[in-house]
Amino acid sequence: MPNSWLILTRARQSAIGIDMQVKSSSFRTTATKALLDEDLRAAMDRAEGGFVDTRKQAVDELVNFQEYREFARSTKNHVLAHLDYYLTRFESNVMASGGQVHWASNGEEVNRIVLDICRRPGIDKITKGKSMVSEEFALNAGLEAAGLEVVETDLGEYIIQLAEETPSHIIAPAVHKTKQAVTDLFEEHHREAGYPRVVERLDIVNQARQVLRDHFCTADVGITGGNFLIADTGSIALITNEGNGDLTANLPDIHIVVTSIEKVIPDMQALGGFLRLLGRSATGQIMSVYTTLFNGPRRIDDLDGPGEFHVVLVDNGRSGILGSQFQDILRCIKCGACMNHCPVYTSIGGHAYGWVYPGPMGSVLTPLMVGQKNAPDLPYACTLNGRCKTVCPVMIPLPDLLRKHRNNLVEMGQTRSLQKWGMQLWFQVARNPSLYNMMVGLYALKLNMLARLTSAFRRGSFKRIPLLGAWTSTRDFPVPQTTTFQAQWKRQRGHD
Amino acid sequence: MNGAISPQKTVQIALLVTCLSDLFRPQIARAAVELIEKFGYQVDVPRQTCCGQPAYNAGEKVKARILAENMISLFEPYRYVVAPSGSCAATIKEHYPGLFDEGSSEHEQCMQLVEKTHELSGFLVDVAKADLEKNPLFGDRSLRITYHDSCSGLRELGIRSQPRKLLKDRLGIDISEMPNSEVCCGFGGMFCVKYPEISTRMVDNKVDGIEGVEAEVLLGGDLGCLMNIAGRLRRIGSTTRVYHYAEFLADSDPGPAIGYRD
Amino acid sequence: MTDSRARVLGNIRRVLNRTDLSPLSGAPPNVPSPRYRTPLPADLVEQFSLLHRRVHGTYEEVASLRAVPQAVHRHLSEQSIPRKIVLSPEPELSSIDWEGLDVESRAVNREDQSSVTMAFAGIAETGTLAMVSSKRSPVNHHFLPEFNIVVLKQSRLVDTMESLWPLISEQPRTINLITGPSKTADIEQTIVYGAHGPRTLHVILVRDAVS
Repeated sequence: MPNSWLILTRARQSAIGIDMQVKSSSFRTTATKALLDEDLRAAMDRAEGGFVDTRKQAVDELVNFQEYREFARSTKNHVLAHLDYYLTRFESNVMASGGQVHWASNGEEVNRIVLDICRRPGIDKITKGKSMVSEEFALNAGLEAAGLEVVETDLGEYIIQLAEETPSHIIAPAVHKTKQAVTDLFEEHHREAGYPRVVERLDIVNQARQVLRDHFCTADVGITGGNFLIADTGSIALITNEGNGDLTANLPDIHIVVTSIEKVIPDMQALGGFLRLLGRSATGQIMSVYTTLFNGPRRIDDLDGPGEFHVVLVDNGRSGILGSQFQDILRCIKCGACMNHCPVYTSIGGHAYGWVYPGPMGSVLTPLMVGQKNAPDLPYACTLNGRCKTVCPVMIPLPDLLRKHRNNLVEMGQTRSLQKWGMQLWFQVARNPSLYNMMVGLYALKLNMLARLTSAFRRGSFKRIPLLGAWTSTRDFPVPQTTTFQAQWKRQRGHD
Repeated sequence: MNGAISPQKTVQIALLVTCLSDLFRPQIARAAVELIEKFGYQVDVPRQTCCGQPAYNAGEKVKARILAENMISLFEPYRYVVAPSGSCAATIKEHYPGLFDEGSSEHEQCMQLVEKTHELSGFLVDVAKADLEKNPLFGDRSLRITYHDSCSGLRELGIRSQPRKLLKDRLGIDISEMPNSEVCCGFGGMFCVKYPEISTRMVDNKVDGIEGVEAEVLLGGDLGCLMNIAGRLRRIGSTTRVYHYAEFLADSDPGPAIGYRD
Repeated sequence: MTDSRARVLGNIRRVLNRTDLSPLSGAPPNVPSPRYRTPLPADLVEQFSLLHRRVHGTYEEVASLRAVPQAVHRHLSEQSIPRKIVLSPEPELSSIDWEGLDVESRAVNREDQSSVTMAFAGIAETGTLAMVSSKRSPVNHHFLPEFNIVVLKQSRLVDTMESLWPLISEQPRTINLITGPSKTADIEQTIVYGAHGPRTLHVILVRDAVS
């Protein structure tokens, strides 16, 4: 059958992709390429403006936003300090409502658990709500390789799936795609089924609605993520705007929640606080359209709902972050505010970061999850401007964590040798005031002489300086005066 | 000289010159001295090197700690330490404490420096309660001026209203605010040479903001950012001139802008 | 996966320095939630309708449950929606005289275009409808049809989310908090309504608490 052949081919491609999916080591090349992408630039400009302004409005409306942030930070810290307690409490409450709980220490185990659930007669098609956790271990590829059809149902994720790409933003996965690109993609993939080419935004959404309706209503299994796990009740809170998560969860006979262990919160009271932060921080919404709490499979007299309810609790490296100097990152509620406010992210887009999580939280998390060796650039891909830290709803000190990564790279001797020796040389000068003043004075003199040899002196700035090409290729560099301030001061007022 | 008369002649203030001002723009440090002295404080410039910011941000904690120790003992005798740079002041105030074990005597000494260190405009407005009289020299200047809020000063020290207040009080300047005044210019210390392409895109976004408000002058409080922005403006042929705000506030003529000879 | 369970929990307990592996007795002290301090108007209906409209919901008020069919009728005509509706099997809804509307009280299926449901409660703070699943209130009614009409009694309006939880006595299978019609911004960050769930969400508020 050509159809299944196609699926298998794609699955095989994705399966190869499992080994290659960490592309963070080519950060600089990819980032530089991304800078030349005009479509991406337009998309990012649009997104940044929208996210930043709407967030600000929504945040300003909540008079004690800061109090909620502090509450969220303390609550997450509290849960992390008692994580075993809250997880087991959550587990027993899920089971009490008839659900099954599976634990997975890594991605391979998740794939095996989900496959074990799905491997039975009559199960062919899986619909899937957006789940960043499942991207960590290419769950789709694993399922497709076993001959199952997997359909992403979040519009952005669906677009990305058709394009055979990965998400470039954790809440807006297709933020880098233009309308035109979606038009072409839909034509390519929907034409055979008799759908027309659609150009207008509304028509595009309508066509996706129709196509995905078929999938929703014929799927055998629905896989969703979960935003919060409520220990007290064993509920999973899932938050979407499209409603795809609920159709995915409620129509098929089996609902599988793939979620990670750090998402547990104590109780419903706490949920209110987190919901007030999440919508505002993510999209500037006071409340997302659909917030759903799932508790187990359909009840005996229910008219709808899945017959089976599974929760897969994924560790995949998180327990290794717990208790480490990076524990703060486990507070992350995946709102995306840090990337929306990151001038580096909005310049280069998400793909340059090379793995599932981009932007500031990604630059902290990726090296921890895939190994620092595989993402050597990410800790440096940041100006430490701190804007992310000021908008983070759970107050993660992102720049400080990136500095810790840098510090670890230094201590492991994993910095580039030019950087290492340059720093060593500078340090030996800077620790000795006499030497420092002499060297800086000489440098001023040298630059001044160099300026006099060129037009730079008359101009007041250099257009080119040997060894400083990284600066002067796009920027002028000022010509210093012949004497430093400290030398002038010594002459005029004298010290020592 | 106009300005407040103060009984604080005996209060000794050390100027943290900052490496960039020392080497590339001594007149910023000169202007800072002039402004502080205007309030009757006595300024000294002990022979100094670098606060260690480049090492600290590169993850070289050991080196940063050694430089921090030097700074701590260097500034020990002074009542206040003032820097015409948000990022240098923030390195001391926000990051030095983390370099020493809490409870140790080094940490205690470090905290003394932390307490008394200030960014220039923060010191003038919040500590000296500077009430600058209007400077007649600039009274008639009707330049269109915009302001870049450097990230460290803004987010780590809360420097935003202080330079604006000083510019308003002294020169009657109303800042023509650009929408992205609080967005990083792409300097980021080593970042601008490690990722020059990204850095250039970021400074271009900043330039868009500056051109959007048709500013003739851009002011800011951190020379690194200002060199980055000025360098880009100069390269693309913009006529906007860039200065440190202190140069505008001092009595002496600010002279040529950053990267200009006249 | 008992092995994995032991491994994950073992890792956690090791880094948390838990020597005692028996389950902790009693809940560890919790962090108190902040109080919602943004002022709400005294009239919760005003706040609810404002917020509901702000997220593109449509809204009208009627004096009693008896007036609901007329309102539904009007809404269907205005929107040019066929006069065929599926009610959630809520006795209060089925007991109404639906006067000439083609009404069925059952589970929804793919072909059904419009549903009429009854909200468990409304949250004024956010303009949110709270739907609590039961045999009388299936879940698909809220998601599958293109047009969703929700009857909300004024007496069921609460101020904030925190006031909702105590009203739910027994844990239902599903709680759906719905704030406006379905939407997406996945095409160039521009909002389009009716992504997968209902295109329109019409609230008929019954003024049953008028004093």
